[in-house]
Amino acid sequence: MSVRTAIDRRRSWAARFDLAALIGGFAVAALVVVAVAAPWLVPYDPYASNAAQALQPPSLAHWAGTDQIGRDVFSRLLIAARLDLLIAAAAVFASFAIGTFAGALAGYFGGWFDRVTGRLVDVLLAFPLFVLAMALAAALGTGVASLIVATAVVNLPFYVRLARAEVNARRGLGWVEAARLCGRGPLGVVFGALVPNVLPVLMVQASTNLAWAILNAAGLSFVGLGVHPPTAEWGMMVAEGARYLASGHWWLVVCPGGALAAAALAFTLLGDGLGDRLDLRGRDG
Amino acid sequence: MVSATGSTCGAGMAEDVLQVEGLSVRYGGHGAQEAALREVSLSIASGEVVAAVGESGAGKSTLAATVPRLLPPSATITNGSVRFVREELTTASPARMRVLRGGEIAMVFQNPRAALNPIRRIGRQIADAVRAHRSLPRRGARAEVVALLEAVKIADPERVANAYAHELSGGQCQRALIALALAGRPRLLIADEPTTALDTVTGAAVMELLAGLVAERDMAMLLVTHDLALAAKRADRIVVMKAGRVVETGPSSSVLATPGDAYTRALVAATPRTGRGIEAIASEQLPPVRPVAVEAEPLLAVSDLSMRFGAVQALDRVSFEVRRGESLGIVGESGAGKSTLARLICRLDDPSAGAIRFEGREIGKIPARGFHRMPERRRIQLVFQDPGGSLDPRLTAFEAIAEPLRRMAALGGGCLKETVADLAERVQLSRELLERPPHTLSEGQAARVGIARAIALSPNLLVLDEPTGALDVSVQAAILTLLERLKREMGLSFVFISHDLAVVRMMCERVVVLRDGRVVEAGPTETVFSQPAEDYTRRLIEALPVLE
Repeated sequence: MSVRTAIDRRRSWAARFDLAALIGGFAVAALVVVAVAAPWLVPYDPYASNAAQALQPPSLAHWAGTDQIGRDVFSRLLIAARLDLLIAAAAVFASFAIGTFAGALAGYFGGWFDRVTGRLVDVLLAFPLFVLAMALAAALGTGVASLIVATAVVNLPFYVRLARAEVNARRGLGWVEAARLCGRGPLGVVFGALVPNVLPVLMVQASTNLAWAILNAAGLSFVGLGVHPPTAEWGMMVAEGARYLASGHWWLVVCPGGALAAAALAFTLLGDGLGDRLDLRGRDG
Repeated sequence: MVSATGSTCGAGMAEDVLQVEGLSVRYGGHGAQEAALREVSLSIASGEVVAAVGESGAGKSTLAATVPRLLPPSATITNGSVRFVREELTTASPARMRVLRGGEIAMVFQNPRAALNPIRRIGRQIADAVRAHRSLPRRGARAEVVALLEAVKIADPERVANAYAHELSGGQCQRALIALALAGRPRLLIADEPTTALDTVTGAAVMELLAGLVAERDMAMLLVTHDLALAAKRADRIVVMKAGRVVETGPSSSVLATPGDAYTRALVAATPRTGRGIEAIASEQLPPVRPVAVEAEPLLAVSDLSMRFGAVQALDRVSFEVRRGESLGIVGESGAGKSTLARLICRLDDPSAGAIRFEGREIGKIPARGFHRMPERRRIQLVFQDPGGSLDPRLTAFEAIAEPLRRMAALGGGCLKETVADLAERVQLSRELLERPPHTLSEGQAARVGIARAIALSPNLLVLDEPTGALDVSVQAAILTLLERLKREMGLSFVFISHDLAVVRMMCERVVVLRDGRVVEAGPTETVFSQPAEDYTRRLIEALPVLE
């Protein structure tokens, strides 16, 4: 009897987890659709100021109210989704690609390359991540490109380490040696056999990592190291709105902040769900 | 179908210690239930060894776990009874089971190192067991620990008691585990594949010890094993299991000599035996033997091959030759350097010293990293020990077999499909299986895929590293038959690496015996096996139980 209830409990847990992943997946899909279609979805021009309508609370006309110069906050939220997703996706892709490449080589070959990349990664990890990102963004100058580079560099160590560990754990396995016997050279083994097999693990990492990248980019903008002022960007919108928080204009902070939190949560749920699916399928020996 | 079998021992004998009656066990929750045991009955009297034999999936290990109620939570006992002395175990309380388990019912597991706590000294662990079942003062427990370690014939009990599991050899770990099992003065010992993880010689010594202890302490032993020959040698009675059912039971001598059941007959027929060739176990008609070519130049000549890993000399000046169409067996215990040798011949690693001449060309000096560009790459191929693990989890069987053809013969399109289909037919792999990913294949099917991949480019030399080590006997018989047929059809030469001397004796014309990286003996298989010149070889041969 107790065995049966234990099984039931585990099942309902699994069901709940799948549901969470499903919600995450839908939310991410919706986010992407909104970002792509934003120019056609916005009810107002997100950059048109209207002094007469400044600092209006949320209403049917302005779902998320208006800001200090009368711009529609909802329109700005939608259009900002493009920039925030672009920065996060570009940064994650860059660190994913470079990190996997370097990590896989280090994991398979070992030797001096492994030692050099390993120490570089240690150096990067020795700094508090956000402080390092700030330093990089400040050094590179404000702008979208420097936001992407700063976020990517800070992220790099995790991909290098993960790819290295996953490749290293498999390098002596039978099927890897079999690939050598099938006529693959060392690079062919790494990128033709090993990397495709560790890719799912890295994809899960990337998915969860997108949440972090969005927050990081927004954080940099918040402290003034990101995009230039008129551009709509969630982090900067929070920063601008914060000045009006004390005077009771909460929507200027809560709306972009909520958008950030929702986006981060969506990617996290999706990543967790993907990770569970991967575990269910069973790791290859 | 199967009656209570204790009676066959005759009335007036000691009473049954264990009596299992109509036992059924299922795995899985709702709907997708799977019967692991169906109506299993057996009994064991004190002083008696009963072996449960069968292939994987027979339910042997489930049986061994059901008696002490160590089943995973997903399993349920649906029917039947397990009586220990006169006590019903299927309904006993968890508290009562805790007292019995490790006390009057003790277990010895397959992997001794994993069964010991790595961060507690051996003596402490045994003392824990002693004190859990008997109230003894600390000092008394210590004396008892030493006595137990002496009972399992550990040479230096004081040292072993103070050691951690990683400081002991596999054989010592297994002995320590047996001492742990004896701590509660058990009346029933359940040994689940106790020697499978051990070397032949070590395993034989452990079995000898177990048999001695059973007789000496008048225990009952349930021996779970896949090895018919071991069961024949050590058990008084045998219970043959298949798919959760007992198909046959009786005294070991008569069950194996004159099997009544068709399945038992098939098992016995598939087991390699002394003095019989591959034809005896062949599942099909084999083509005639090709004569070994008498040429001046051998196909493979290894001379003074050495390999060092740091301070360890894995191979020390090994030399031998392989002629065209010949099978050379390499035997020895684990750590003898067999697999290192396989990797060197296949040019996956670079030797520290020595030469490898293949078809008259020195290939030992070509760096392993660049060997994939050499013409010899397609002519020397390897069949791996773990068939499932040698297949890329991402590739279907078709893709696995197609890999070497794509990369080294530049085949593609219809021509590739046709060649792969031919190869699949050659290794008797049905076409539907070609589209399947490796984790859906059985070990036997995976072995066939691995062999098809290895012979795809018609190599001249096939190195087989324990090709049947992970397989059930009936699958082993089929794979050995397949290898022998391919050898005769294609004129292949084998370097056949195995710890199983019976298999090597059947498959190989000549044999090399390795010990600690050195060749201790070499020569024609029959000569080496019937008149071993070295003590070590003799010990290896004697340690291996073989069906007579």
